[in-house]
Amino acid sequence: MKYEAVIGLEIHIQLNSATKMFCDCANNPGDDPNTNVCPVCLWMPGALPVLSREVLEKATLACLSLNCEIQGESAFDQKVYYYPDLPKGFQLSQAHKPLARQGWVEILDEQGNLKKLSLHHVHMEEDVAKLVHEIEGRVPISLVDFNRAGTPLIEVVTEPELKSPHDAMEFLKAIRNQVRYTGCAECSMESGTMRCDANISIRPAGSDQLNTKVEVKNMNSIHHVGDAIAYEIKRQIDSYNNNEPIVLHTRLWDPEKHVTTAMRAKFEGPCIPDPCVPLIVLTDPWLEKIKSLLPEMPGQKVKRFVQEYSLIHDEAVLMSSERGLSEFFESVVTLGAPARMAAGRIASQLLPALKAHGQTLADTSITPERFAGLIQLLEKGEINSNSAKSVLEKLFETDKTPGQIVEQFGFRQVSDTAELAKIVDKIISDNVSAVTNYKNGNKKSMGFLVGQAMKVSRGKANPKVIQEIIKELLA
Amino acid sequence: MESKIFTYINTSTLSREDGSMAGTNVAVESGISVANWPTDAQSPALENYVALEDATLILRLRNAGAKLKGRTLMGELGLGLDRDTCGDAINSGLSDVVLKTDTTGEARMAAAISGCFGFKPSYGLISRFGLFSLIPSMETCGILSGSLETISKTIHTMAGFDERDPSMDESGIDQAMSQFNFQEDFQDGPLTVGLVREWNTVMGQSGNKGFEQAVATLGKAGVQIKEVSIKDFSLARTVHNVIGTVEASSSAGRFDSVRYGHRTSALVKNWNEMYVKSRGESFGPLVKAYLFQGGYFQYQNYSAFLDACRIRARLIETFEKAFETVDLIALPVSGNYGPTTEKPDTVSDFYDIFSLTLLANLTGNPSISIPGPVNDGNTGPALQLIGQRFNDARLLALAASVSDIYTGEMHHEI
Repeated sequence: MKYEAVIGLEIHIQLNSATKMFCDCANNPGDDPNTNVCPVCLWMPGALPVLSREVLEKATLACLSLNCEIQGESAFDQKVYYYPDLPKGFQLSQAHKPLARQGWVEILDEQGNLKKLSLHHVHMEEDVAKLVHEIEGRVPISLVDFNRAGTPLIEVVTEPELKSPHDAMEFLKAIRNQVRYTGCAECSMESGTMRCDANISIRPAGSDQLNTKVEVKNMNSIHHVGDAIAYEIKRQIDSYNNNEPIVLHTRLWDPEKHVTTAMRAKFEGPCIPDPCVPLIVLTDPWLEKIKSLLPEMPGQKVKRFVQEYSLIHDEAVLMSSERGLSEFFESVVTLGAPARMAAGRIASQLLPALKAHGQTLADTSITPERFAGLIQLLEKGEINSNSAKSVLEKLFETDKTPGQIVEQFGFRQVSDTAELAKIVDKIISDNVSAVTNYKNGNKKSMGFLVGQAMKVSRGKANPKVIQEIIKELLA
Repeated sequence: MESKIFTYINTSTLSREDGSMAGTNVAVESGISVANWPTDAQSPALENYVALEDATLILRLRNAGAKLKGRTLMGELGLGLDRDTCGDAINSGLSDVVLKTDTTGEARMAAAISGCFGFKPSYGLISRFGLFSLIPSMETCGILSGSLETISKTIHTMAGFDERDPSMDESGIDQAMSQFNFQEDFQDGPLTVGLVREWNTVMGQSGNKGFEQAVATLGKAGVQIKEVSIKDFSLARTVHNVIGTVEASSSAGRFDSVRYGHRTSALVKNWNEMYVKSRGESFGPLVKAYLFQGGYFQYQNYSAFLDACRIRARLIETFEKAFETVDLIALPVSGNYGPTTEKPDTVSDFYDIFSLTLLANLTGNPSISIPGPVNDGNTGPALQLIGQRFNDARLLALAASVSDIYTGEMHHEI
C-alpha cells in the first residue's frame, strides 16, 4: 500500500522583549545562573504576575506577520504539570483563548509551486526554568537556573496539512523570515530562540482520516527537523507493514545516530483559566497602532523590488530575505547605484566578504554610502571588476572612501587607447599560436589574449577597450 | 496569654506618630506578608518562611502610622478557623484591628464567634500583593475590630490602586474611594434591606428563629424589608467548592519543598517521591482533602468547573440586579449545622460552616458581620449584611445604622 504523511508543527519562538513576561527581570536567559530573578519569576508566595505591555505588543506584531486574526479577547490558562523546571506546578499559557487564530505563510513545494500553509492559532506562553544536571563527587545532582523562567514565548501551531520533510523545512524558514522581519525575535533554532516539535502520523495515500500521531522533539536545526520527520515517516510505515500498532507517545531525535527514540507517553495535563492575569481586551485603536508598526513584509517587498528597480524575481527574493539586507540594498540604490548591479555585487561580493570577516550588515563599517560609492566607480568605468574586489577588501581595512582608496592604491582603470595599444602589440607578438587560432575561427583564443593583456597591465586595463583593439588589429 | 494568641510578637516600637492609623494596634495573621516576619500561613509547607517584603496593604498601614503588633494563629493556608486566635486578639484588648484573609468567610465568621465586627471588602479594592491564600479569585483581606469607625479608617488606608496586583479594578476603586472621602449622605429615604427568598434552602429544614427575629426588629424600627430572589442561591456552596478547590490545587503547586518549607527526611529514590512525601507530610487533613477535590475537577471533571464558572457569572448578575431594589442584603452569618468551633475534617464539614458567608466571596461584594441580633446557638449573635460592590464605605455606614438599632442607641426611624 502507498502511504502519505500528515505533519503538524508546534513552534516556540522566544520574543526579544527587554523584560520577562510577568515581571521586570531582564530577558537574558544566557546570563550567569539565577541572576535575572525576582519573587514573581521564582514564584514565591504572595507574588502576582503582571503582563508586560511590550511582550503583548511584540507577540501581536509577530502574529500579524503571520497573517493571523488577532483576537479581541484572549486569556491566560494554567497548564498544570509537575516538574522541577516548573516549581509552581503550572505554566501560564493560552489554551482556551489564544491571542491569534488562523494565519498562513507561503512556501514553494518540491515542484517549485507556491503553496499556502495554514496556521491553527498562535498563543503566548511563559518559558520554564532550565535544569542543569551535574555530578558532585559521585552523586548526580540537578540544579535549576531560573533566568529562563517566565521569559516570553509565542507558540505557533499549524493545521496538520504539511505533507513532507520538504514542506516542514520550508515552512520553518518562512515562519523564521516573517517573524524576524518584525524585529521581535531572533528565531534561531541553533541558539534555541526557535524550537520545533513535530506531530507525525501516516495514512493510506488519498485518505482523509487522521491516525494516531507521534510527537518528535529535540531538533536543533531546520535540517534536523527534516531528517527527523523523514526518519519517523519511514519508521511508522515499517510499523504498519509489520502490523505493529502506532501508539501516542513522544520521541526524541538523536542527531548523532539519526534516529528517533521513545521518550515517554505523551502528556496532556489540565488547563484551567488563571485567576490572576486579567482577560486581555484589545481595542481597535491599539490594534491599528500595532499594525502601523508592521514593516513591509518580504512578499510585498519582492513585488515592489521587481516593479520599482526592475530586479528579476530571484534577485528580489534574495534582496528581501532579511530585513536588514533589504534596507541596505535599498539605501545603496537610493544613493545612486544602479539596482541590478548593486543587487549582484551585494550577493556575489559583499555578503561573502562579510562572512569571511565575521561581520554582519548591522555591525560592519561598510555603510550603504561607502558601498554605493564603490558601485558608482564601477559603473562609470573608473575601476574594473577586478579592482572593485580589491577596493572592497580595502574598505574593510581603512575608513577611507572608495574614491580615496582608488587614488591611493592606483586602482584606476586604464582606458587610454594609445597606452593599451602598446600592451596589445606586445601580446600579439608574444602569442603567435593563439593569434593563429583566433584567425582560424577559435573565439576562445580572444579570452586568452585579453587575459594576457590584463596581466601585463596588472589588472588595471579596461578589458572592453583591450578586446576592441585586438579585434581591430586582427581583423 | 499573649503567647497563646500570638505566634510572633513584634518588639520593634518604631512607628510614625502622625498618620491616620497612628496609635492603632494591628495584628496580622501569618498568611499576609510583613517584611522580615515569619510568614508561614500556619502550614509546614511554609515552615520558617520569612516574608521578603511587605504586602502592599501592610506598607500602606505602616506609612499611616499603624503599630504592627504580631502574628495571630490561623487555619492552615487560610482555610477555615482551626486554632484561630484573631478574635481573642480583639477581645483581650491586645489589638484594635486584626487582618485576616477571607476567601470563604473566615474573617466574618471569626468576628461572629468572638462578638466583634468582621468586614470583607470588595474584591479588587485592596491590593492582594503579598497575600498567600489558596483561592486567588476570592481572596480579600478581611478586618476584625470592635469599632466600625476603625474598620472604615483601616480600609480607607489600605485601599487603592497598586500596579503590582493585576486584579485591581480602577473604576471600581475610584467609586469606592470617593465614598470614603465624602461619607455624609449615604441614605436619604428609608433603608431597604433585602431578604433572599431562597436563603433557608441551605440552612437545613428548621430555619433560623434568631434571624427571623432580628429581621422583625429591623422592621419595627422602620426599615423596609423586601424579598429578593437569587435563583442560584442554593448552588453557591457547590460553585464555591468546585472553583475554590480547583484554584487551590493550582495555587498549592508552588509548595514543592525545594525553595522553602518542610522537606521530607525520608530516603527517596527520585524527585517525584520527594515531592509526594514532603507534601504528604506538610498538609493537614482538610487542606489535603481540599486539594484532592481540586485535582479531581482539574483532571477528571473539567466540565463541572466550567459549569461552576457559568453559574458564578449568573450569581454576580442576579446579585447586581437585586441591588437595584434594595440597599443591603441580610443573611445569618452561620448555617444551622452544629457548633462552628469544631474543627472540620472534611470539605463537606467545612462548607457546612461557611455556607452563608461564601456568597460574597463568589460575587466579590463587600460583606460585614455585626454582633448582636442573631442568636442561633452556633456563633455568637451576629447578622451578615452584604452591600453593592465598591460601595464599601456605604455598607459600613449603613451597618452602623443597623447596629445602632440593635444596641438601642437610636430609637427614631432611620
